[in-house]
Amino acid sequence: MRKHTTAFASALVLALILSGCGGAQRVDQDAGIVTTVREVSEGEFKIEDEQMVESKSASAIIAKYADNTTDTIPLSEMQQMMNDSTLSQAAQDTTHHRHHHYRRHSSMFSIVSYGMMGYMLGRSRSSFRPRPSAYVNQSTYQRVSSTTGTRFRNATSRTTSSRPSKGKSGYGGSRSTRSSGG
Amino acid sequence: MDRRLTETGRLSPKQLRKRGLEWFIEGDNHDYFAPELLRLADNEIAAFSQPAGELYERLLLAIRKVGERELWEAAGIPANAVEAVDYSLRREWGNHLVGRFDFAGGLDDVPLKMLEFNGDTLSLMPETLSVQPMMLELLPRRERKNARQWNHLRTGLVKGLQKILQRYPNRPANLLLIGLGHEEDWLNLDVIEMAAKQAGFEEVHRAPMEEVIFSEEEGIFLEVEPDEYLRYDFVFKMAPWEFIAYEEPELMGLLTQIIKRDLCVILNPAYSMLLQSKALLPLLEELGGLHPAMLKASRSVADFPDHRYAEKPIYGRTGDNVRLFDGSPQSIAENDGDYGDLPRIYQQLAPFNVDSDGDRYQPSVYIAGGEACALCFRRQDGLIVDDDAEFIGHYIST
Repeated sequence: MRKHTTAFASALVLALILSGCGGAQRVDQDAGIVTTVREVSEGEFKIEDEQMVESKSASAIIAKYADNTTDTIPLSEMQQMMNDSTLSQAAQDTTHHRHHHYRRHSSMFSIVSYGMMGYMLGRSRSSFRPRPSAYVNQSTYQRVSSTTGTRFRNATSRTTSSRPSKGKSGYGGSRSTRSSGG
Repeated sequence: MDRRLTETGRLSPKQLRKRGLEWFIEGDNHDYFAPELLRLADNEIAAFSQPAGELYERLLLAIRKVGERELWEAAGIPANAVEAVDYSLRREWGNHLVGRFDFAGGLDDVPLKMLEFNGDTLSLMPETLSVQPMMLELLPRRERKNARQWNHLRTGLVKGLQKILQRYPNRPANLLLIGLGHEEDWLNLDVIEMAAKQAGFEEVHRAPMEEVIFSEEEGIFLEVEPDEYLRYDFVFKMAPWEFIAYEEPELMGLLTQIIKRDLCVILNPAYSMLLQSKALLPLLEELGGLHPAMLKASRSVADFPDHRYAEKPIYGRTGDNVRLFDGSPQSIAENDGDYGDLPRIYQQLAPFNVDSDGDRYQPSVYIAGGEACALCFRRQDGLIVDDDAEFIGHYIST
């Protein structure tokens, strides 16, 4: 792009940006969620419980399948499976077993993401609220929301710290009228 | 080239305003987006994607060898950046998020040749990701029906950012975007912000570098209220590493300590400086093995006794301080700019695809999340593709 060197325009942009970030004074702290889901009918899951754990990396799904088996899937594994292109390939696979396996996980992951696990998967804490329909029943939703939900919201609002030691600022002022892109 | 061009007319300011992109056509830039689209056949995309992927692998191989053999000076790394780059190569390998190759040729029997790799900071992301698809809508209906674009920049960025989050599972997913104040940089940072949110970053803030507080003991902070400070675990900067090394040496020292003490993950990482440095190009033959899309390059003009070469500063951008020589000691084209004091490299001239007006087409291919993922073109009425180039969209017609 051509160079815009109007000092006024740059100053205006700077002012807008500063005012834009002034309101954002909280950053979410590390906390995780362990979600227990139950397969209520074949391939259909509902959230039975949600508990808070100390770190995001300890987040996991405990899956209770209809055939009475259980499985624990850590968050990292879930993210990997969601990203893994083999999953989508498996979706197109005609063999019944793989297709079934994919659909079962995919439906489980979408249900847990409608609960508090959604926050672990990138849903915004300011705009997203868990959906009652993702839970086994209304009373489970209310119980989890008033216990784990409240604890989670309190724990994940980090307050700001005092001035960092030896902190220095004011760098980069000489370059504001020129793009840094190549 | 002419047979590839389809007239579309220009995007209206209203269409761009809706997406917050009107800056691109304001003032002198009203004709920045070309009123045509470039048509490619399906099978022509591989002629860009495959060499770009291979060249990226070669560059990575070469910069590892620069580290192993400590060829810092030859690769153009300023002395005060060596510690950070060396550490980054050893401990942050894989954190390189995004870069863009600029090529010559690639269509109609003109061989594809790599001019440079913008491996640290780069522009054109909003034009490619957001404006190009809007241009597709302007195609005449019969052309539009099966038209596609090779444009997976967002997916590439999301994948790359997810990989980085998975690599640091114990770090809170908060990201600070740092710019130096230019509007174009903020628009490019918008693209990173969009991808970061999709990748799972929970808080994404932005600030001009002047406002950011760097502490070698505690990390990178913003003062959000009087005497209230927020710390960031991840930073994406639209400030070139070499700018920091040359213009803000004290900050270079602080950042070296910050990354060595693992106080913040900075993107693109310090080793990106090697990818950005054109001084790497003359070393490629020795370090990375040759590739058909590489041009001969040297730190010595004596290696071009026929006087046919491009002269470029090792950290030049947007065609600044480039001179072209085509057989005589007098240059056939030259640009002035801000990088006149930097060391130069000399690079073999590359043929461009040219249309009947004599305009040159420069294809660019993005690497994000480790893979070649998107294509765009610029068009220049002149020999050096620079700030005055038009952005021209493409479409794939089956």
